[in-house]
Amino acid sequence: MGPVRTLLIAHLQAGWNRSRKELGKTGRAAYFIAITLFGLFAAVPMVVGSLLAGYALGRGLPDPAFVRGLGGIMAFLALLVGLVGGLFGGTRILGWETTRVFPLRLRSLFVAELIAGLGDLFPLTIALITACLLVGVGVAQPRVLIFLPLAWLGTVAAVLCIQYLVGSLTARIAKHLRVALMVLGFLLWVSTTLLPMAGRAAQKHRGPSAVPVEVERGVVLLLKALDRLPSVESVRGMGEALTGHWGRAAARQIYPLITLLLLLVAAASTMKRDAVPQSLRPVAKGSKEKLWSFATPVHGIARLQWQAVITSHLGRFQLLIPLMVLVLIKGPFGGARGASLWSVPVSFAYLSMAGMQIQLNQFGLDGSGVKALLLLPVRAEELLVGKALGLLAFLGIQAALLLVLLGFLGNLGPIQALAGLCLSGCLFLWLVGLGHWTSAWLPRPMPRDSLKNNNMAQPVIWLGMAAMATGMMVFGGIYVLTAWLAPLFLVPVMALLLGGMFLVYRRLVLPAAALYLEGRKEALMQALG
Amino acid sequence: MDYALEFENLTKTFGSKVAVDDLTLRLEAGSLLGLLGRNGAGKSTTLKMVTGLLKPTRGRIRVQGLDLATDEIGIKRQIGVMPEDMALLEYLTGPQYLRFVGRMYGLEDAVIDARREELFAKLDLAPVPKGLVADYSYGMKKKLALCAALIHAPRVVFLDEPFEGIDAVTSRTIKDILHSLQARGITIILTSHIMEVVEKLCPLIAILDEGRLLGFGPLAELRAAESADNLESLFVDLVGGAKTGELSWL
Repeated sequence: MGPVRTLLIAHLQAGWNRSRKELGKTGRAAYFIAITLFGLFAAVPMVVGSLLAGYALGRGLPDPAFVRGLGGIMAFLALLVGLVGGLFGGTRILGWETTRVFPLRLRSLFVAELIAGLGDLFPLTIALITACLLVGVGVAQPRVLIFLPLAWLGTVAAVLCIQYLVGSLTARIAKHLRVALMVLGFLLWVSTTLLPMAGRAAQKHRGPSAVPVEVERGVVLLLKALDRLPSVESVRGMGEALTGHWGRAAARQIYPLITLLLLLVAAASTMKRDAVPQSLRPVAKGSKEKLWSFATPVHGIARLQWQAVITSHLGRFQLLIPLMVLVLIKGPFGGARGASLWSVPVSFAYLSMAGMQIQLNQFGLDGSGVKALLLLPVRAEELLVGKALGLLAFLGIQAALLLVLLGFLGNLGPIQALAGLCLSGCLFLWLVGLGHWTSAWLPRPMPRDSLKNNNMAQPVIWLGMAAMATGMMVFGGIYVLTAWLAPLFLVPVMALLLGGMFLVYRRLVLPAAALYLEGRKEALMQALG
Repeated sequence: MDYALEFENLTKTFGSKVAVDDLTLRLEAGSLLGLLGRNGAGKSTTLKMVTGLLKPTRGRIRVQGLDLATDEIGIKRQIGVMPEDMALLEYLTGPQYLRFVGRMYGLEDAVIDARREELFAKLDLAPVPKGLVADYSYGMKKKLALCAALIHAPRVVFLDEPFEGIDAVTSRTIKDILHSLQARGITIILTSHIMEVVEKLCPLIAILDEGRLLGFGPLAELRAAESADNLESLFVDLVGGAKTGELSWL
């Protein structure tokens, strides 16, 4: 058996064994039901939709609009999934310290890691959608069948490479927080000051009739950009094959192949660099060490949680989220309608969503140190309250930063600020309450010095996404409805909602979660130790 | 009579596997017990139960007169634990970690800092200022874990493999510390696979195998009963002998 196959089997066995151990019989049954339901209600429509879309686009080939459409969709999906997967730690790599002891070539490790990345949720989904899309094209145009496996492999490999590269880049950015803050600040300045100024100047210069010309110019630019995409070039090659120009068809595959090759080389060299173990951390200047103290065990746990988050790469990266929200709101979504209604709830929802990894895996950053916590003379309820307070402090910093930025840019009045904070509190209690359960149910160790390998367990990802959607629908919906129908009552309504959530959390969620944690100590130690 | 530690019909099962089987044992205050057993014999499971990390399937545990089932927090205040894997909070520095642990037991900052200075000096632990525990060597982590187990002046101390990865000089210091603790009436239970150390250090021995207690009592009595020359022979005989060391391909 070759080394790549051995590594892949090791990944598969480790994943399977872990899910068996973590979920147990009942959990496996529940997960199977959840996956079946997802299959029925989401995967089947997704597969059918992709097949139909592929068929419709395939029928239109070699029309340039259809070529751009098919190639554009493939490129968009690859970029989107690669970005999201990389940003949220989806990159899956083996523990280097373990694998380095084996006589393996880095090339074997790289190939195995890349293929194993398909086991993650997002790449798996994209592989399925692209396959269906291309099968649809193949049914509509059987003559291009020979190019389809290549197009599929190219898209999937691109997703995996982009995911790895983005993951590695974000880890570096998180390491250099000041540089990241400066870059984001610059982007914010460009999107909020320079672009509107340039737009107003152009408008003034050309007069009101110039707007359609601007739109037209934008469309032309977009089409030009689309035409340069490797995936569009690949589909254009399929179009050439349909008209009988097989030589040109093959030649048009060279550009996408070269791009893919470059991506693979970039990802491989990044992986090689990442494989070098980090040297001991440089010692900070000055020999006087600041020791912190606290009044009660709950405060101690809260302080500890704060320390765990703020010193981790993931936590530092999340301090950039408020700035990213601003860049998005003032940039790409700046011109969207009704921004005054939805911008605050959406900003806070995004903030909460970005913090889900830590909120739903509250012991993850403690690693094997969780045993030290469980040995302390502290009740499970105190432990959970401490964790929640530490996370609240972290979210508070993020929310305050977001409020200041929103206020500074004129998107926020005092009423919206207060109501936004209440909304943020509701979402926090909702997620942190759920997190008390998921953290004891399916805990996963989270590396403190990397953004990689910190994915939550699959069932927790599903649950988190469902909880986020529900929370956003309920709390965000109440916010938007009240802001629209009775803006004067926005703060009282949101404050009442927050009070209600707090009561439910304190009286119902916390005692039950503490009881659950008591029975899951062994599982926690086994998973994190 | 109130014992420092009592196990009464202590049993722990994982599915059909019995990890600890009807263990009954009593220790008076000031005892120094060497808990021996092969890998998987049930030593760590027993320690996890008495430290509240695992719930017994059956039986009773009492520490310093307190029942674990009704007063787990009270018991945790009385005990100090050094797990085999140390289980430290690696994103803190050594002094920060000890300050955290000490405060959790209600000690004043000044008391913690004074005790830390003394422990660090005794154990030759001189970490780089502001260096994280994650960057400590194995031996340094072991010493820090020992400091954390002792800083709140516990009445019963559990040490899982305390001499593993420790240099000979520090090993001697730790033995001295343990003797001095014993002399002050503190009860110590330690596990180790190094028979020579246990033989010289522990007046009391308990041998576990497959969850059952095969022997418990003063070393001399056990050796006499089994006609064994030393602790290693006694141990190997009790657990069913050792296999020969020949390998077919070497």
